[in-house]
Amino acid sequence: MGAGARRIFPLTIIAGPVGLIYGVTAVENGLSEFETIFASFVIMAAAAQIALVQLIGDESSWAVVVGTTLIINLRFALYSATIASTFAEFPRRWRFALTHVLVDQTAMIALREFETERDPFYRHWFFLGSVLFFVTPWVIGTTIGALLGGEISNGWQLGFAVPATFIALVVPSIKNRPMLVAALVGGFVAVAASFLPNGLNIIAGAFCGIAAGVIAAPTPEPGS
Amino acid sequence: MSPLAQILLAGIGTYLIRVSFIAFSGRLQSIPPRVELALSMIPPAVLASIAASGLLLQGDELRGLDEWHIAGLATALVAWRTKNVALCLSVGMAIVWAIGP
Repeated sequence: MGAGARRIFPLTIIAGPVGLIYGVTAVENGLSEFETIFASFVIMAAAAQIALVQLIGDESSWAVVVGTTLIINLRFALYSATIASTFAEFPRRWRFALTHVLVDQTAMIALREFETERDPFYRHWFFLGSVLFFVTPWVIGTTIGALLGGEISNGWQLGFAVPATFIALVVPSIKNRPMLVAALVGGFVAVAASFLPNGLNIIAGAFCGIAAGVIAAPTPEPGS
Repeated sequence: MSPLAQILLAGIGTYLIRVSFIAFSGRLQSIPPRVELALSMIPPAVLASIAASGLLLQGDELRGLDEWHIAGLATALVAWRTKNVALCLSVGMAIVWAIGP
C-alpha cells in the first residue's frame, strides 16, 4: 500500500485543488452542498463532473447532461480493457470495488507499476494505496469548495489547475504518431467548435480526434 | 429530472463503462484489433479536447493572450521532457502566479 501511496503522491497534491475548483463550480451553478459532494462519490471523475454541473446550471435537458458526462468518461473503457487481466486475479469483492476508483491517475500509475510487479496480492494493495491517497484529498477538496463556494478568490488562479492537470495527463498518453494526430485534431476541433452549446465542442473534438487517429494508424493485420 | 437523479444516472453509467471489460475478463480472450485501436485513441483525443478548450477558451470565445498560454506551453514541455507530473504542474502554477495579475 505504501508503494502505491508514494507513486500517486505527486498527483495527490493536485487532487485537492481540482476537487476545490469542482466544488466551487458546482455550488456556483446552483447545486446544493449535498449534491456536489454526492457526485464526487458516485461519479469520481473531475472533468466529467465539472461539465455536468455547468450543464445543470445551464438547465440543459437530462439527456444532454448524462450523455456528455458519459462521453467524457468513455476513456475509462480503455483502462478497463487494459487492466482487466490484472483485476481478474483479484478476489471478486476487491475487483468490483476497485473498479469504481479506476480513474486516469490511478490507472496510469498502476499500469506502469504492474509491468514489473506480477504478484496479485501486491497489486491490489498497491492499487488501494494509490486510490486512498487520491480519493481522500479529492473528497476533502470538493467539500471545502462546496462549503466556501464563491468566497474563493480568483486571484489564486486555481482555475489554471484544471487545464494544467489535463495537459499533464494528455502528454504522456501520446505514445505514437497516430495518437499525436488524435490529440491535435481533438484539441483543434474542440476549440474551433466552441460555438456549439452545452459543451458539445468537447464531444465533437473527441469523436474527430478518435476518427483521425484511427485513420492515421496503419491497418491492423487481420488475426494478429 | 432532479439534479440528484441526473448525478446518480451519470454515476451508474460511468461505473458500467469502468466495469465493461473487467466484467468479461476471462471470457473475452482478445479484443478485436480495430476496437483496441479505437479505444487507444480515446485518452489522447478526449484529454486533448478538454485541455485545449480549458486552456484556450473563455466561455465560447478565444482567450486573449495571457499568462495561461505561456504556463500551458511550459507545462506541456516539462511533461514531454520529464514525464514528471508534480514538476510540470509546479512549473505551470509557478509561472501563472509569477506573471499573473
